[in-house]
Amino acid sequence: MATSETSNRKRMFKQTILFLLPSLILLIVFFIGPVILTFFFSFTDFSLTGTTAREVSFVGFNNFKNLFADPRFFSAFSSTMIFLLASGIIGQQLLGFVVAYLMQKKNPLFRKIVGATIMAGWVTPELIVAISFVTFLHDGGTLNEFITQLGFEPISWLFEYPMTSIVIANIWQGSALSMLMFQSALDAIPDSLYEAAEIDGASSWKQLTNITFPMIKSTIFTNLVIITLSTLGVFTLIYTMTGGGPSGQTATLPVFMYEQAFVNYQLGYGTAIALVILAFGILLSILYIRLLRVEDK
Amino acid sequence: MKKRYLLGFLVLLMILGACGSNETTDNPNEDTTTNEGSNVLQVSYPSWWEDWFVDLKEDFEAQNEGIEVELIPLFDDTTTKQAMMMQSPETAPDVAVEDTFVLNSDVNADYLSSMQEMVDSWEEWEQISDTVKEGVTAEDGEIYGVPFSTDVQGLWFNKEIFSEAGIEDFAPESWADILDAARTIRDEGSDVIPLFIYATKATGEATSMRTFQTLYSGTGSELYNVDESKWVIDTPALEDTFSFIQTIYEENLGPSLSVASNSQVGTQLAEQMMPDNEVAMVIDGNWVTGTWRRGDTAEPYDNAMDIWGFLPLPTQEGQDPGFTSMSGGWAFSIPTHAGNKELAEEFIQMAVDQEHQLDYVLQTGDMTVRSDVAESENYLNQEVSNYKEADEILEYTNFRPTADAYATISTHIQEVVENVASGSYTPEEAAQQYEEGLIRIVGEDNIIKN
Repeated sequence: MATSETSNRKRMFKQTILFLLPSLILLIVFFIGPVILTFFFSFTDFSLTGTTAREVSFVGFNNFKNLFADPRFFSAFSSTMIFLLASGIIGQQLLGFVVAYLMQKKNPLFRKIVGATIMAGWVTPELIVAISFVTFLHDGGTLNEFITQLGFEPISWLFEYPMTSIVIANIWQGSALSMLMFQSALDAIPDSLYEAAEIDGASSWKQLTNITFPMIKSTIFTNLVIITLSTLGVFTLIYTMTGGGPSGQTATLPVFMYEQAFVNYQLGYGTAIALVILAFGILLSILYIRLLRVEDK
Repeated sequence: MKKRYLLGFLVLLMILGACGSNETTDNPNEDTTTNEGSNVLQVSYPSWWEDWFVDLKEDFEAQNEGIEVELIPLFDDTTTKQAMMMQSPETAPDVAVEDTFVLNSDVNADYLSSMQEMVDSWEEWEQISDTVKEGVTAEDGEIYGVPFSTDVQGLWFNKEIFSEAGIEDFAPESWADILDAARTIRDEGSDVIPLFIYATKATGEATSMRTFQTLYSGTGSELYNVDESKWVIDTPALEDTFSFIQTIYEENLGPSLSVASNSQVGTQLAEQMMPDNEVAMVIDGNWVTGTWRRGDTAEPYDNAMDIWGFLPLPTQEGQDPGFTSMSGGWAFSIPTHAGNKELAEEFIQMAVDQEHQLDYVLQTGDMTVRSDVAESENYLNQEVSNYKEADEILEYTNFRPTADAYATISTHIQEVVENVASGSYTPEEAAQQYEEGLIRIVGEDNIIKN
């Protein structure tokens, strides 16, 4: 009996592997392969042109040493943190939750209209979002047309408030995902909990902090991980709207990486930055998961 | 059970098959690019030359029956894209257009094949001016490209605005003269930008070459020492150059940074700001006239040269030789991985012959590299042209360093200039930042400090 079970399992295992094989191959070729290559090139002086494009040599940790001594890296790092905190963690997370919370138990038609409006940002390709915001915020753009009609002086939004501009654009685009996740989490909370709290005389605030938050905690953390990783990787939106400028104010790590690799032709240095971004993303994700576990205990 | 294995295997085969067949259908030209002597010639070029290359294609196909020229226009970041294409035989074009500042690096990367043999046996090579030949000679002394375009930087000034401001016979002999004129125009109190310079990262190479390097060459110093193959740090010269840029911004003589931060501001200048008299002086290339001659402006601008003068830019204090300039340049090259080198040579020889070069300068406003074209009446006496002035500037001109690290250092220069213009760095801090960046990029061993 026992032997037939193990052989059964073995067979199941083989079968599983076989059926997974196509996607495994694709993953290895298009995902794990490039990651390994990135790791490899980040220790070289590989460049796009010049002698080092032909004769690639290992330079040990030089790229990383240079990176951590590069003032532009720290300014890119702090821009990334501001962008991540303001647009991802606070903006998308909070706005997504507030919208989902306020829409609870509202008229289905109202929910559909508001939901669809917010989803518009999510379904629009990043490049189109970026160009829409550029035409809106540009010196001669819609917003300035509007405020000059009201008698105010036009403002160079993208130049004077570059970080705020890209943060707003990213919140506009990304809040829909948070909203969807929170909506389904909120819908899953049994009404009976709120009814019982009501009978006990709990205020809406108490209900929110003592019932809603604990019940959707795991969604909050999952959402946090997803938003953090996707915000860390935002490139198209920023590069199109501000090009990382002015004076590097919006040069986040991905923009900095692109410039080093494809404008300065230093591919080795660029891949080292890519690796740092990857490590940073992994680190933050582990941190969140740890936090969630501590909370559970 | 066996059936299931079989099914899984079949699915796998189908997927692999699909991947495989995709590759072949995606590259219908794979065979033609790798086979020597095929009948398709692939030519890649920056998209702004579309019209001229379409003409070349037609003419070449008419001269060579059965040959097809496949045009591959590159949009934006052309140097990067071309370098990537030249890495592999499957993507390398047969004819590539090289910006001469990157030519030596591309030779070192083994992207380009030597054209020495071709030019040795080509009579017309003599027609090409010796100055521009320097730009296509690599460190090994061999020729790797045939030049077809060059330009000079100078000082554009608006005669109408100047006479309104009471400045007659403007002929600056030092940077101070330029600043004085700019101040006079500013004090007139109109919205006119007294002196336009490219000063942000958004305008890329223009900020580095047309502004910084043109001015810096006027201090008498050099960025790169060819004899020692080392980069030069000349702190006083750097500080003086950055001071000039700082003065323009501190005293409100330049364009607002939001205007200067538009990557298309060069086009905007030629097509709108200059014709509309919104700017009094501009440090820019001679080719602006090409825009006016082609009629890319909103209104025809036939009298442009009555309004705009093009002067040589003086050296810092008028020191010898009195004036200075920077020249860029473009050349035709043949990638190492080109499949059709013989045909590529024929194409290049046709493109750089007298007829097509005259055509080129008439269309673009760039300066010719051929002496016979330069002397022709057709060239010198075009309407709305400044070739005579540009030709005089050519004797003062300088070229960009062709060393490997140039591209990286040039971006670094753009960053520093932008920080000076925005007031983040003083000239002293900027010189310090330039030095630190240079050390980071090439290492202390490759630097000499004056």
